Amino acid sequence: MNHLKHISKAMSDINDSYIQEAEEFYSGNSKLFGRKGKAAAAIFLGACLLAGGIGVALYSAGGHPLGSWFGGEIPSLDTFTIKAYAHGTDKELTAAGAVMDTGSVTDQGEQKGHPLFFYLAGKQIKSVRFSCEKQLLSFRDWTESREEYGLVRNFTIPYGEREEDYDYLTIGWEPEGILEALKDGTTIAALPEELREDRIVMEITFADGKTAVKMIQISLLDDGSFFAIFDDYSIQEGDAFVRRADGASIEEQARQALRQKQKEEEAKQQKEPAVLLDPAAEEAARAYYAETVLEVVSMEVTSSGEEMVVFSVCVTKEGILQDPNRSITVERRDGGWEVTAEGY
Amino acid sequence: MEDGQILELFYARSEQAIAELDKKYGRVCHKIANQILNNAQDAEECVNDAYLGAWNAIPPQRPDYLPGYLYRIVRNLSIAKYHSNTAAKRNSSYDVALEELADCILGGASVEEEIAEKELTKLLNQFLGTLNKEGRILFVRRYWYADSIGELAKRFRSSNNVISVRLFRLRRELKKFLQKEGYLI
Repeated sequence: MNHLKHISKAMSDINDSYIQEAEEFYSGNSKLFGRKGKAAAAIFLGACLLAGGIGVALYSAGGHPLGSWFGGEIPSLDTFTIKAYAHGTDKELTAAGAVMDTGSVTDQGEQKGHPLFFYLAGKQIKSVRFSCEKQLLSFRDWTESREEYGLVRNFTIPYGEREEDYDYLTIGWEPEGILEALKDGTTIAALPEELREDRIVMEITFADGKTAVKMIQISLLDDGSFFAIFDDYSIQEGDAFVRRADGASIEEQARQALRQKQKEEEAKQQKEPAVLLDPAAEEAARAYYAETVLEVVSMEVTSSGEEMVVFSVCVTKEGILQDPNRSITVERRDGGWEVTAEGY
Repeated sequence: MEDGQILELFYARSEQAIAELDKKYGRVCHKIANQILNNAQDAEECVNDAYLGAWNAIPPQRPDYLPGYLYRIVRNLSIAKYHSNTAAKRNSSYDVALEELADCILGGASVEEEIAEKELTKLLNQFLGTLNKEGRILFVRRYWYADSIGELAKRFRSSNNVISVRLFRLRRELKKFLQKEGYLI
């Protein structure tokens, strides 16, 4: 135990500069350790590089003790106060708005940092549906227990009873449309106003079935920084973007891609005309065995083409069935079929 | 409120200083204490004691880096409480982090068992100076702040596995460093 105390104390007294450096650090680079990712993760990471940060927190107002998950006394919705913070800097985002100092874009369409990258924290959240009006969103679950999303506009995330994990669920806002327009030669100041504005609507469902709607309104400023307002919201009839269907998760996209590939393979195989087997090919193979001690029981084509056929042949030797099957290859030579390979 | 203004409140003996300190740094203080103690009540006690410690020490002290100063008090108080608690109560993130470090540092026989803590601190500072920024931050977050692997994965935007492997390599580098410096044989 003395050793542990010794190490613990020694570690306690390291330089302030290291403590400060570690305190203020929050990675802006998703490839810090050169990790080898799954394709799905790579898609998301690409998206993350375009993301920025706001942290959104839900707190119980007035410090009322909250009931246990799905049990105890669950407070009514109006007992919740919602707060928002810039992720990484913990700068509070309010209805008055704040300039996000975590990232910006340039006139050349380059993105620096992460203008909007946020998470929700709070009490008794069952699920949150995110809808982005114009740009794209991504979602990463650092607890690796939920499906993730990359560059989609709508998705629903189950939150659940582990409130301590909520801030591990990060949502990135991806201003793809803005960047594309800037890369096409437009300057920030010349961008159409509608492209410089975006909204993220969050439909929050609590464990008791009650709901709340919040919105982050994002505006691109002339200097390339972003101004974000976080406030209550009431979904309007004209908010078609909220009614769009959820996008596919990265995992689902991968599954869809796999299914599509399989379908294409099947279609390709169906389109390829079956090569009619020349009976002479089988005759040549049988003739070969007729010259040996092996007696053919059955033959199956394993591969066939106009110039070559391969059979799997079940044979007996002195009445004893041979296992495994033998393989024989016949090739078209001088208008007939000739055995070119035989064996296992 | 800026740190300088908070310090002015301390110097003016205004109790608002504690309120501002808690408002600005309370969250991290509680996290540090809780990571070590794994007990909200004990953590709360340590944080309050740390505020009192800061109140008694400032003035005359005027820390250059106020949060580091405060966090260090919280950490030291929490560790003291941690060691005074029964073994059965120890199941915090700090336990795991400390054991990892102990395995590394005590993995070889210590040439000088009674080597001063200051000497080990000096070596740790030197070692940290040899690391790149990310490695250094990862090491400090794990073994000073006692962050869990999951928290580090989030902070570094990496997977738990990558973080674990990276920490393993850092400990191995530390061991080599301590061997090279004659602390371990």
